[in-house]
Amino acid sequence: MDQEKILNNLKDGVIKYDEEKVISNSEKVIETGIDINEAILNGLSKGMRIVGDLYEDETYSIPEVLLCADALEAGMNILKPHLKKEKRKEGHVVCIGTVEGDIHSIGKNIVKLMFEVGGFKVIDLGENIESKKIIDILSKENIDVVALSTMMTPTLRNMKDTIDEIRNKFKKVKIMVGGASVSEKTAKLFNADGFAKNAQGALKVLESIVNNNLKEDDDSI
Amino acid sequence: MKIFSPKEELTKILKGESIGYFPRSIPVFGPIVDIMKLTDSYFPDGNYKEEPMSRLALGAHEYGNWNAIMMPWASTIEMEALGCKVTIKDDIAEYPLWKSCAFNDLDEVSFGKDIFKKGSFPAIFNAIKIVREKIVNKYSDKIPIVGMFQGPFTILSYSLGFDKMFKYMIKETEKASKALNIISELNIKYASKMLNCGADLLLMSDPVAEGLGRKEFEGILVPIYKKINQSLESESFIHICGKTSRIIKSLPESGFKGYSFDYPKLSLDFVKETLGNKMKVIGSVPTVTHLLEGTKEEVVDISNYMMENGTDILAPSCGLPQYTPLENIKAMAEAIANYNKKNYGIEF
Repeated sequence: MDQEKILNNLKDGVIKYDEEKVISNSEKVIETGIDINEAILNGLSKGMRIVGDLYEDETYSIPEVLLCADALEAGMNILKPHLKKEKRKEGHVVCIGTVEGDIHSIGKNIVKLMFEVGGFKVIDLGENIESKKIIDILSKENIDVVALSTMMTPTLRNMKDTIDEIRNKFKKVKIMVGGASVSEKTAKLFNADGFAKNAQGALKVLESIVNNNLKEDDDSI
Repeated sequence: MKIFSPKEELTKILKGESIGYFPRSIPVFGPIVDIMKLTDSYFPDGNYKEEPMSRLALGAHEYGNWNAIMMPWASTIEMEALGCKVTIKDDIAEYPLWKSCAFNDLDEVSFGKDIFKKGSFPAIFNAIKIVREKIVNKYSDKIPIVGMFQGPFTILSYSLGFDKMFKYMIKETEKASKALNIISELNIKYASKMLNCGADLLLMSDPVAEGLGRKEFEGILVPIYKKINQSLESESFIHICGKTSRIIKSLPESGFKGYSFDYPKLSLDFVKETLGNKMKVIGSVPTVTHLLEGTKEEVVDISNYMMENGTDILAPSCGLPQYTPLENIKAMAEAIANYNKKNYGIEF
């Protein structure tokens, strides 16, 4: 089977949430020596971008997107150990979680996958995360960006409290926020470094935060 | 022009009758810290004890000038009684926080006869009785009490886990439907108890259903909504926040008389056009950008926009953030009063 067909199968497998197809074709990527970055970008990720479009035009809803994300993740689990990280992003670590009181995980999980597809190392803290848990992980790991999400208005203040706590203890850590109840204005009020409306936007914001950081680092040298 | 009581206004509007002016009731509420201070009633007691709960509920009318009382407001009530663990923080403004699921899979979904003795249910029933008594004695029974309950999809999503529940709607449709039907029995029993305690109208909030596609919503959930409505002995309306454009077309089939929508995720024009005259449009002053973060003038402007462009009942777009300033709450009531004065020459 040629490369184009395998990549196409990866893309279609994600779109049609056909996990078996994604797994078998991911294994073929390894067997045939196709470039892993190419398989992720022009196979799995391309499929997920189309899923994003299908969600936007309302052909798909959350249940389909979740099943597509499962298929994408199944492929990533096979390909990721073989992934050569881009030098630019090497060492950049993002920690992601939904704030305390909020158990919405779907959007956060999709954002996490997009970050991984983009080549970042992601530490997923899960949902309903107390700020203490974030502070603990920041103390132990070398984390560049914390990505926080909330879908609900009653938990907005938990997002603010968490940001305040991070700011007090870790001056260099960048923070980005998202979720249905968060607006750009809210993000500014909460003193976040970035805000994204959706998963595709989130990767762009993360890349921009990291790139700006690199520039700041360069300036300081 | 005949002037009705706020209770009559709201009931008539939901029944599809005309009252000749804009109704004064604002039927979606959640306690704010300013009202907590004024009533000396705070969380967590305000969610678990009948006296502070009843004072907070009445506070919407007595301090916010809202001519309706919606209670209770925590989204975890049914889930906690079903067995979900919640964390109750010693914080004046913190809602109970969901901690873990009640069930592992759809086959486990059930509830016992003693469910209404669990969690905050006993306090809620007593609080509604207290509020009813105070409304009868102080306000000649003119202010409506709206009993709020969570919809079956939201309850099951919290009780089983969001990811699982959404996937079940495609992969295990029969089992999902059966489990949702079990939860709808809880909805019906709970709503009936609230009515027996003194609630006048009912609001079902099923926010997690926003994520469903039309096929699952129409095929599985709407028949269950319909069953709930056929069993309820009062007028009722539904709130689903977020961008509900995938499912809104099926809402009139549900039997709910009004839809509380989330502006600007949906535009007022789109909601009016989609629902036509099949459902009343309720809303929609944005809770974060306007009520929490906006000025009084911005709240008045958006309220006027809603009333001038065809909303049937004014309400916040979703649950109120706890630190919403009281001034912005009052601004909504003021906007309705001024609108009625300007357009109908009525001064209440």
